[in-house]
Amino acid sequence: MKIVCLLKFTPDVDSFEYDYTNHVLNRENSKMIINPDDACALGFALNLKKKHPDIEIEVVTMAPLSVKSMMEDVIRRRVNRGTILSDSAFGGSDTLTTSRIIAAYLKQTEYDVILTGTQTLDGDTAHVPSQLAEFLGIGQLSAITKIDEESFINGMPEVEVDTENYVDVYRIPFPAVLSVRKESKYRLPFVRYADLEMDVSDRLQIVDHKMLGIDPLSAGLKGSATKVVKTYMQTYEQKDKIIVHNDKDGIETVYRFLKDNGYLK
Amino acid sequence: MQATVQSGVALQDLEDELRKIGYTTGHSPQSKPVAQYGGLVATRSIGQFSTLYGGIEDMVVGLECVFPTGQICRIKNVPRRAGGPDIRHIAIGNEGTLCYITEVTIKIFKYFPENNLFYGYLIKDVATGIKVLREVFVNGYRPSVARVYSEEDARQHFYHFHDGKCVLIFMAEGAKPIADACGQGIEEAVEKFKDGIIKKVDSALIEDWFNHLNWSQKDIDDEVQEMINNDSHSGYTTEISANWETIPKIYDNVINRIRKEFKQADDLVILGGHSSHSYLNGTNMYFVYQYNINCEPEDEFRMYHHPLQTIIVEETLKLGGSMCHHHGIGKYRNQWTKEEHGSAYYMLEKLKETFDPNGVMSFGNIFYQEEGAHFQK
Repeated sequence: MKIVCLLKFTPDVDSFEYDYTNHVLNRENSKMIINPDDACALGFALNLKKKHPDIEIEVVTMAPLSVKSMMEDVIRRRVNRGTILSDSAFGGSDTLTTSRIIAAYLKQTEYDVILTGTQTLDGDTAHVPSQLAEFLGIGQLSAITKIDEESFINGMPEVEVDTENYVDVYRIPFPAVLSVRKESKYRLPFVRYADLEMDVSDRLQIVDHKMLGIDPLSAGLKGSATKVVKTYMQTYEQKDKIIVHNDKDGIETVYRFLKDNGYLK
Repeated sequence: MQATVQSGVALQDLEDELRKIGYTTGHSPQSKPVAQYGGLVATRSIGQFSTLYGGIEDMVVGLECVFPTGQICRIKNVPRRAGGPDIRHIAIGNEGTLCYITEVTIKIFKYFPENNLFYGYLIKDVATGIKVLREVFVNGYRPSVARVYSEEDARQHFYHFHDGKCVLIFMAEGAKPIADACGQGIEEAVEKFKDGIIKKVDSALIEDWFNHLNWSQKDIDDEVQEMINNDSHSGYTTEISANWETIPKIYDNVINRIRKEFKQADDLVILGGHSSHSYLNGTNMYFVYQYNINCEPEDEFRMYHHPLQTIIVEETLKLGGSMCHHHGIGKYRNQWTKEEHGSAYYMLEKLKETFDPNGVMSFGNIFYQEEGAHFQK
């Protein structure tokens, strides 16, 4: 079985520091991480590979070449192959064009199933997985919180999908795009100490527009239907810290805060 | 003024019994609720009131221990003697490598909680705090608690008042004239270095902090569970000792080197330290580091703790300090035992050869074993 895992490297929004005076984000201390939903998808695949070593995993990302070292660390987690779809012509692509580019690569690639996250930290649209499935002409499910391993191995996975009020159970035949949510808690293993310096260059490929047969004018900002009119920074107000003690007043203050802010009904 | 207990007696139990009749062991490590006397003596334990009562080595009057041959030795309980080398110290701190401690007799002290005095200050830097500590101790005062915290370490201990500054705290206790005199000595020392003092802290806050410092078994279990759930670590420490002049140099060298050399520096959440046990001629430094774990649990030691402790130990030994003020050597610092002891290692080695010739006691503790190296480095 071959699993393709789609990953996106996103800024770690939790590590941003907000400058309350100038209302800007201090990005100097921010770092890039694997998008949490995507990390869970890869975590599922790698844990399954531990039990079934014959499973082949290819990780695909569309990103600038600056992600190369992070991609090498992904491969060092016992991934068979890594592919970075990278080209200056791809920069600024909207979700539709991104999906088209990824689909162009996947049409050249063999796979049984595509695993990815549902949403990304930075975009949050959840467009790419379903658009990709459309371009590939295969089924797709989003918001998956559990995948039954046995049926997955048999090519007809039974999955649980969180629809907020309910958990629906579906069966979907391979090939398919399965979009996982981080609430699935499939844990992405770390690179082992002994593998930290492992040379994985022979397992990493860079794919550009020529290799995909894509016209540069149909990609990137020029090839995208979405036009950004304006971007602006969300501003936040600095809140005063309240320290309470573990006494009647303190409990009342915390209770009131939770109630007033809708955390308690 | 002494009590005899078997090795499995919990410190907390003895302390509780003594308090009922107006006495104290004077020994209060954070592990008090879970620690037992055999372990306390075998690890050369120290408590939070050590600057008044001393470490466990100052409290042990005599003991009984069993050697691997089956030989039982009882070291008798006398106030002092000059009967050759003090053989109590073969057992105290042996970490199970020479003998097994089965019974301990320790000193007990009168307890005067009503006379306790607490002092707290926000200060400019660690060096200022060390100067004040030194002044107090060289003038002969013996507060039961005397501590200096770096900004980072203060943040995790004193969230309610640290204000981003270093913290200096004292506690004076004992009979009222003694406690009052000690308090006066503290105030005089603080006054002498007032340029480095930012402000005094309400002593009630310091008292409250002390009253909630010890770990219960539940605290430990909860902490472990949180680490498992969140891949996080609540913090490690490596603590060392050196003379007054050297401690600030070691502190600066260590912090600078970690920031420059430690590969996972981005994962550090806290890097700082505090001095918590002082003497006439020097003090200790508790380096404290907390980090997000971005590795498998099996690799954590080699990726985080070991590289950090290596820097701390190297910088300490380089300047003539001790790498193990009170945490012992154990299995994870035994690679430096020879350097720690220098030419005196001969004596340590001969003790091991004599008392445990087959090397069956606490394999790897104190004495380096190649088989354990792959867990360390």
